This record gives sequence, structure tokens and C-alpha cells, in this order.
Amino acid sequence: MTEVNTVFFYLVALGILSTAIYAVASPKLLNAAVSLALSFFAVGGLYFMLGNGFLGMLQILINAGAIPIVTVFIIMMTQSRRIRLRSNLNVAAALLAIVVLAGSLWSFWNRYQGSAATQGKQITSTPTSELGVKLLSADGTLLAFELASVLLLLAMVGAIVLTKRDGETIKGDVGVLSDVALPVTGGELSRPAATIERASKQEVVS
Amino acid sequence: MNLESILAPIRSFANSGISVNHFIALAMLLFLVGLYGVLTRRNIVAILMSVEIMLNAAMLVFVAAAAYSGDATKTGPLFALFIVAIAAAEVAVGLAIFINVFRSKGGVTTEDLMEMKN
Amino acid sequence: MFIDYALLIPLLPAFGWLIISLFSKSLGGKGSAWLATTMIGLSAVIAIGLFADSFSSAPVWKADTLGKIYKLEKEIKVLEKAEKAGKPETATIEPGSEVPKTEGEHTASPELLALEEKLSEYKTEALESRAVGGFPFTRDWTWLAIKGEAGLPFGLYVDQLAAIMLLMVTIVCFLIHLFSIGYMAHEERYPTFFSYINLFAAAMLAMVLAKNLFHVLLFWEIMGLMSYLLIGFFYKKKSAQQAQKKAFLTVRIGDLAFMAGLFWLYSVFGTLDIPTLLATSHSDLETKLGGAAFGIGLLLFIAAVGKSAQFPLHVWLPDAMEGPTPVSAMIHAATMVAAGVYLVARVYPIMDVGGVLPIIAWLGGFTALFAASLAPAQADAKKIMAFSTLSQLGLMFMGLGLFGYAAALFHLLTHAFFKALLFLGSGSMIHGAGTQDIFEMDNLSKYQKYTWATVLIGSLSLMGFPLTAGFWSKDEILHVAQSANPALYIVGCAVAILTAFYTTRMFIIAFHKPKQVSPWGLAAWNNEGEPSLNMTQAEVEEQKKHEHGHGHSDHPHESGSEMLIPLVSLATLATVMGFVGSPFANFWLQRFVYHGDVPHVAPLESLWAGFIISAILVVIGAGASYALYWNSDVTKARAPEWLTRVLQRRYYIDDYFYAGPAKISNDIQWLFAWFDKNVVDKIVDFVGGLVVVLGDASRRIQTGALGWYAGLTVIGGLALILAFAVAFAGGGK
Repeated sequence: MTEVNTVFFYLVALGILSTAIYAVASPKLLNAAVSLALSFFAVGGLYFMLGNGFLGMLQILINAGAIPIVTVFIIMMTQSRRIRLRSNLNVAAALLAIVVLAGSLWSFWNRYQGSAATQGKQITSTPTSELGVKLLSADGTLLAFELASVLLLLAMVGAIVLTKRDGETIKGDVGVLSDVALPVTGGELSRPAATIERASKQEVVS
Repeated sequence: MNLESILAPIRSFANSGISVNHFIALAMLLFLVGLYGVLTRRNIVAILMSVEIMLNAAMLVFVAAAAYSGDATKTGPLFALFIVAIAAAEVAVGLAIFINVFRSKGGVTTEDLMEMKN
Repeated sequence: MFIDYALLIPLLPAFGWLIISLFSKSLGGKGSAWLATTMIGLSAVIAIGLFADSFSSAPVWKADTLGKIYKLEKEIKVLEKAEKAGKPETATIEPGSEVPKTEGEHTASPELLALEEKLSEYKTEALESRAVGGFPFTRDWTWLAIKGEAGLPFGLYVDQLAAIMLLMVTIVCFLIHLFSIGYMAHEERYPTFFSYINLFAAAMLAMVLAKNLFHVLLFWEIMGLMSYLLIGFFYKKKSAQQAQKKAFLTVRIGDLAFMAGLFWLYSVFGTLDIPTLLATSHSDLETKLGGAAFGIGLLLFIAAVGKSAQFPLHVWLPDAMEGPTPVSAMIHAATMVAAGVYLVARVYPIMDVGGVLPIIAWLGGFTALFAASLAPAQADAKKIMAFSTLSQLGLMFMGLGLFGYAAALFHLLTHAFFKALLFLGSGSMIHGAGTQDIFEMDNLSKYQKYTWATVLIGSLSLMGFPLTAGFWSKDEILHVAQSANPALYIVGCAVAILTAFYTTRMFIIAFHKPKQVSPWGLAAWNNEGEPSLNMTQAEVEEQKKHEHGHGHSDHPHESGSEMLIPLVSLATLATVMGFVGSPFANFWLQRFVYHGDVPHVAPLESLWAGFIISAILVVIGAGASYALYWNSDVTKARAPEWLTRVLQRRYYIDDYFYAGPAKISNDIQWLFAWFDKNVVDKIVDFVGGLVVVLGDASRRIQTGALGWYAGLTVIGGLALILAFAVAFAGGGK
């Protein structure tokens, strides 16, 4: 039974919130992604403070490591390093919604926060072995574990299938074609040579 | 005015301790920050990042509540574990979908994705 | 101890399948073939070791005392019968349920008691040494067992039956693999073939090793799948596609019965563990299973009927000849059909308790005679073999049904070797002659000396010629039948004559007759006129071209050494295997594999008559065939037209299946069609219409803008929170 160090908590909380705010507000997406990673890293620190080192490590490895890296890849592949924010009106509307939500949450939570159960300052640390046993036992979350493994497999297969170039439909091409000004020759419409070639190549591939 | 009178409030602050309420408040703020991102961002990659922040806030509540309640069933940390798994799957599929969207639409903003209206 | 490596026996070929499936391109054809063969070869090495272990640790029985027990038991039976006959009034006067009880009390006369005492004395004396070294071997594993939970058990169980089956399956499969290297060399999908037969063998081996009937079912199904894939290996041929479907669906009927039987067994017996089942005594099993025993036994037997192609589910086996010849060899000798016999032998206590055995015996006897009568009307070498397999399997089931447990398994063992030999031999013939039609084979004995010799050994064995393997094992079954059921004994004798007849016929026409026009034409040997397979003449020609064209030269020639080595090995083994159960080895096999507390071994002197009768039967059958075909023009030596026609149509049973069940289901389709159109469709239309109306109303919310949806979500969340706040207003402080 230990307590969470107050000073460290406030420092880490400050770090989490500031980096998170930067991550959702910065127009430079790459910076935002890095900031997101820092925020998650700090959340991982909180898990260590709460005596759950395993989840802390997991947080650092996956949420602060893998996910931002993948995000950076997406940013680069979709060429959206710098983005435009919404109009100020939208931001105002969002802030208003958030304030209302925060108010309701706060008032709702306020009813309970005075109760004795929430006043305790002692924490119980979780040994990793116990977590593992619970995770893999039939009266624990074995089924959920198996389902999660299926989910991850499906996600992997899905990602591969979705990004495979062979499966690209002609529909996208039609969209491109419609943008091209079609030259009129002798009263007949004809496609530009380059696009026709591309379309026929596509058919050969698929 | 001696040193002690300056240090006393600091010391009492440092010794005041942290309860589960603090964690819930922090998680709530983090959640709202994420929500702000979801509502204001135009780029869907940025929206995905904001969703990740919201997921993390939820995770934090689970872990903190478990730690403070001395949860013997370990449901809290296990739930957090599954949130991690789902977040990872979400990002992986998200990547694939965004790349596909980018290929067919030439951009990944919400304006590019108005298909459902038509 | 080889049992520690027993898991590798199925795993090695399965591994071979995996490697070939994944890397066949880089391995190449020859590489894949040799990998597969090496894998099954290693399995064979372990199986031989495992067999040696079982051999040295199984209980040993004295042959001469067993002979005495056999005679004594016969005496007791006779005496019991006589005493029962002497008191008929007890049975007639007292009606109702007390009759069997009083009967039992009345028969216990002093002389009978004395004999029974002597019997139990002999029984203790007959045991030379007990089982040692933890025999029967078992190995257990559990999967997903965490902190003392039961988990999912799986294990290996090797008793005498499994040990001898493993030995037979691995060796025969290895030789078939070896043969295929040369035989299949011209095929397009050469590596695929080897990956398939490797998994096929692996499934059979895993099934034999399984400790739990559920796992037997599991591997049984894998075998079904592999047989489907292999029978349709030439998937471009329409007839192969039809044959694979026919095989799969027909066997499926049995599989369904298998599953139902297992569920029923589990619900009344509480476990599917094979050792537990075998260790339960006869009376315990009777009380535990009660009336269910008959049902369970029958369902499991139906499963065996499907897999082992007994009447009426035999229709798939002749058509399964569409597969490559090594596959036919594997299905007919080592794997598929042996599985059915193995299953019945495995659950023998249930069959015994449930009283299914007479059904098994009669159905087996019927199938044996029925199939043996069909074989003489076939022109395709492989189809002749197919019908002979049906007939021999029938004999095995007849043996099993008449308590000839060891005799049936002995025949299974010898049959596996000589049938594999015959199939590979006919493969070599087909390879050399370029046709499957025995009438079109041109005097093969001139060109194929080794094939001729090996096929001769196989044929003699199949006929049951004295001193060959088939002789010893078939005679055991006939002996069992002779003492248990005279009617079935006559059936067995008729089967022996017919077998000798058609085997000789095939041998003479294929090897010693010049090429001639097949009396039954092209359609006759492609597929015997199934209504659904009506092909145009052009299609037949096309198919014929394919048959001829798979890389064979026009004039007959001997096969390469890759094919001859397995042939010669099998010929040797087929001969040697006969002696393990012969008087020369003091009936070693019958003393090794047995059911019940002591092996049933007939003393030599009671067998002499049977031996002589068997030899005479062979001479009659073979002599008739010789007289009919040797000197005459074979196309003219034919049965009456009507008989040929009936036999060619296989007694119209296939036609019955098409005209009967298939047609009935076709005819009642209008009812379902009406229901579908007027009820199901209407409901679906209504639901669809409702959705359209609702969708029209609600689609206005869908703007398509992501931000709008996010906003709606937030509003929804707010509403939820407010709802909670109202609902739990009393909670809190």
C-alpha cells in the first residue's frame, strides 16, 4: 500500500494535458503526432505511479511507440503535414459543446466524489503474474483474449487487403477521368490517349 | 516572515495526497481535449489521433479506479489491456482505409468524404 | 521408448504437407516428392520402433494352452445348447421377463460347472507373461489448462491394434509414396499431389493414435477431405469432379451417423476416452449404456459402412478410381477403407454389448458376395480391383461380426499389403500399356517381366492361393464363419470362388492376350452409364485422349526402377505378412491382437479341413476362369446379354439412388418453391418495404458531413449522462 506522489502527479498531469492540447490544436500534423506520443508516454508514467508497471510498459510500447509511428506514416502517405483548421465558428461551437459536456459530467461526478470510497489515498499495485493468470483463465477473460487475437489478425489481414493495389476499382479512375477535359474531334468525344492506356492497363492487372 | 511559513503550504500541498478523484478529473480533461480535436479537426488523420487521446482517457480511469479500489478481479487493468488491443487494430485498419481514401479521392479531409450524402 | 516420439508419426507427414504447400515452387517437383517420401519414411521408422516396443511389452500367451481353451469353450457351448434343448418347457411355460433368469439357473449342471472351472484354470495358465512397461502406452497432454482447470485433453493411445495398424499404414504409405515419384512424374500438379497424400497419411496415422473418440472423428473428417481432393485430382475431367463429389457426399452420410453416435455415447457414458471404454467390463458397460448400446453401436457402424464402402454406401468406391492410381492404392489399402474396420475394432465392446455384431456380419457377408459378383463384368483393371476391395472389406466385417476379431484384423493387415501391391501393379500396367482397359493391354507379360511376377504374387494372394498371405487370413475368417454361422460360411466360400475367378480373368486377359477391341466400348470403362454423367461422344474421345496422353509412349514397356522397387518390396512383404498369423508362427498375430480376456486361437488340427477346402475353392474358381479365357477368344467368351447388362449397371443400385431418393427430393421441390415464393418472399418484401419507408423518413439526418455526426454523438452522450443523473438521483451523498 503506497500513495501517489502529489508533486509528481501534478507535474505529469500538466505534461499530459499540455501535450494533448498541442496535439489536437497544432496545424502541423507531424508535430501534433510527436506531441501525442509525448502525452501517451506521460500517461504511461501515471500507470507506473499507480503500481501497474506492466500496463505502463505496454502503454509506452504500443500507445506511445507503435501508434504514433503508424500515425506518422499515415500523415506522410496522405500528404497532410500541414492542415487548415476549421472556421472559428466551428471552434466556438465545439468549445461550447465541450463546456456543456464538462459541466454535466462535473455535476454528475460531484454527487459521488464526497463519498468515503473516493477519498482513499492508498493504492494497491497489480502484480503482472496475477494479471496474466486472469487474462488467460476461463473464469477470467480467456474468451475475450481469443477474440482480441482474432480481431488483431483481422485488422492485419484487412489492412493488407485494403491497401493492395490490385484490388483498386475502376471507379476511382472514372472520377479522375471526369476531371479531364475531353477534346472534341470531328464531333466525337474521345478519351486522351494517356488515360485510355492507363485504363486498359488496369483491366489487365485486375 | 521566516522560511518555514513559506514552506508550510508547499509542504502541506506535497503531503495532501492524491485520491482517485484527481485521476478522474485528469482523465475527464484529457477526454474533453480529445473530443475538442474530434469536433474541430478537418483532417481525418488528426481526428484519429484525437480519438486515440479519448481512448487513453478511458483507459486511465479504468486503471486508476482499479488501483484505488484494490480490485481483486483485475477487471480494470484487463479492460485497459483490451483497449490497447482495440486501439492498435483501429490504427492499423485506419491506416489502410486512409491510404485507400487518399488514392481514390486525392485527399483525406472530411470534405473529401461526403459520399454518404449523395 | 519410441512412444515418446509417437507424436512425430503423424506430425512428420503433416509437416511435409505444410512445407510443400508453402514452398513447392522453390522445392521443385522432385524435391517435394522426396521430402514427402522422407517424411513418411521417418514415420515408418518410428512406427517400427513403436511396434517393437509394443511387441516386447505386450502380454504373451501360450499357443498350445490357447488351443485347449478353444476346444473347451466349444465343448461348453455344445453342452449348454444340449441342456437348453433338454428343458424346453421352462421357456414356454413361464412367460414374461423372468424367463432368461430361470434359464440361467437351470443350465448350471455339475458337468458344465466342472468344465468351466477347468476353463478358468487354463486361462491363468495360458498367460506366459503379463504386459510390462506401462503397456498399452498412453501419453496425455492438456491444452489451455491454467491453474488447475481441466483444459482440453488430448493424448496418444497405443495398444496392440494401434501398433500393428501404425506399422501397416506407415510402411504401405511409404511404398506408395515411393512408387508415386515415378508414376506421377508426368503430372502437372506433381508437388500438390505429394502434399495431399502426405496429409492424407498424416490424418490416418493421427486417427489411429488418437486416445479420444472425438479426435478419431476429427482426423476421420480430414481424411474425408483429403480423399475428396485426391479423387478429384484430375479436376479438369468432368467424371473426376462427379466422382469426388459422390465420394464426399456418400461418406458424409456415415460421418453424420458417427457424430450422432459420439454425442449419444458421450451423453450416456460421460467420456469418449478410448482406454476408459476398453477397460470397462462387459457387464459394467451393459448397465451403463443399457438400451442405448444398440443405437450407438449401429450409428458407429453406419459411419464405418460409409468409410469402408459397405452396402448400401458402397457406390462411391468404384467411382473413386477416377483418382490417380497411387491414391486408389492408398484409399483401398492403407487409409480410407481401413479406417472403417479400425473404428469398428476400436469400439468393439459397444458393438458386442449392443448386439450389433450380427448385423455387421450379415451386411459384411452380403457386401462381399455382392461386390465379388460384380467384378467379373468389369473391363477397367482398377475397377476390378475396386470391387475386390469391397468384397474383401465385406469379408473383414463378416469376420468382425462373428467374433473373429483377430481374424478380421489379420485379413485387414494382409489385404493392405497385397491390395497395395495389386494397385501399384495395375498402375505399372497402366503406365506401361497406356490404358486402363484390360482388353486393350497387349500381351503385357512379354514386356513387363517384373510387373508380371509381382502382380502374380498379389493375385495369388487375393485369390487365397495356399501359402500366400491372403490364404492364411481368409482361411481364418472362413474358419470363424464355419463354426459360428454356416449360412455365412457358404457365402464366404462363394466369395472365395468368385474372387479366384475374376482375379484369374483379369490376369489372363491383361498379361497373356493380345490387344483387342474392348467388348464394352469406350463408355463402358469411362463410367458405367450413370444418368448424370451422360457425355457426348466427343467428350468421351477428349477424355480418352487425356487418359492416353499423360506422357506414356505408344508401345508397352516396363516401368522404371522407382516403380519396381516398391512393387518388389510389397510383394515380399505381402508374402511375409501372411506368415505372422499362420501355423508356422504359431498364430502369432492372433495371440498378439485380441478382444476379451484371452485370445481365441484355434488349434492347428481343427484347421486342416478348412485349408483343404479353401485350396479346392481357389482351384475351382481359377480353373473355371482358365478354361473360359485361356484358349478362347475372350471377346466371345461372354455371359448372356441380360446378365452382363445387370452386372455392368451394378445391379442398378446407382440408378436407384438417382431415380429414388434424388428423384423424390426433386419431385417434392414444388412445395418448398411455393412456400418460398408466397411466404418467405412476402415476408422479406414486407420487411424491405418497411425499411424503405423508415429510411425515407430518417435519411434527412444524414448530411454526410463527419463533423455533424461527431456533434450528434456528443449530444447523444449528453443525453445519456442526463438520463443517468436522473435515474441515479437518489445515489450519491
